[in-house]
Amino acid sequence: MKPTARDRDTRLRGWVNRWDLLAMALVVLTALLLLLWPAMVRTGGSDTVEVSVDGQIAVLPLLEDGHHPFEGPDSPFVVSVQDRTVRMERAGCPDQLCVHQGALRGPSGTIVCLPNRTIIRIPGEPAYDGVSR
Amino acid sequence: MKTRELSIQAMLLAAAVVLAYIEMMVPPLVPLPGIKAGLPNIVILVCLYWLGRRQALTVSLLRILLVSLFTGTWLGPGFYVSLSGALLALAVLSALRDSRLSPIGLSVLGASFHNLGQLLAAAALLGTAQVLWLLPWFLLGSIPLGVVTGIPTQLLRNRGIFSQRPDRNATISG
Repeated sequence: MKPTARDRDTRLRGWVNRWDLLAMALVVLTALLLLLWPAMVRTGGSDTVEVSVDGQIAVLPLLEDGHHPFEGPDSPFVVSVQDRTVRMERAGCPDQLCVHQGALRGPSGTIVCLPNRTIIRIPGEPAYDGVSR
Repeated sequence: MKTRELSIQAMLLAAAVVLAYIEMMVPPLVPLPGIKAGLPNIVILVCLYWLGRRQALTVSLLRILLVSLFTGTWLGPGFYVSLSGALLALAVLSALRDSRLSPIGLSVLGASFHNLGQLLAAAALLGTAQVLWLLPWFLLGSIPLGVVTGIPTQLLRNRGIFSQRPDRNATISG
């Protein structure tokens, strides 16, 4: 059996040649580019935030950064919008669960403050994070 | 008909089915039907180098058919996801088999396009493009998985197995 030129090539250079590394680098690069795609596309949500306080809905713009004070049935709180994300910045409620929930980036998920009967969400079709058969 | 080639093909098909079965016993990496590590692709890649493109396509299609019949997923969502991934991957593998890529590099590209095909089918089935946001993570995952599934083929090629085609009446050493 006589090895072909390509077989010899592989033996000499080991397992992976520069073309392999190039291909892998391309795959990683594509993945990183897709990951760095603005988070806004990923959310697929609207450009507004709905803050429902005791059944009354206030709509805030998601594209403008800002701090929005509210007067809840339990205590005053502040909703802040920054870089297309929304979070409960400050709340007068005792447990502070809503503040610790962090920021919302899209329609999947809500921030809830029970003492103030408040729900914060971004309207729209939620991104799937799982599908069951 | 070249009996030897046919036997090798049958053996590879059996191995692919068994590997698919083994893969089903481990919990899935992500909760989407049909998306797995890709152990049967080891066999498809070996078949592509050893026997040829047409034979690799046959083994790949029969593998999907048999496994779907065995598991009762024939024409289910997982079936279409598998089929789409396998066909896209095999198209890329066939096109680049004779390029300068080694089996390992080729395997990584195959795994990437396998994932792409699977996600495209999943997106079509679910009627939403949102699943495509999983693609970057799958692409990153396809590097280690592709390397692992490429190693057996690389080993066989380094031993010169593929330069003796079975229809040339040669004995297989190694």
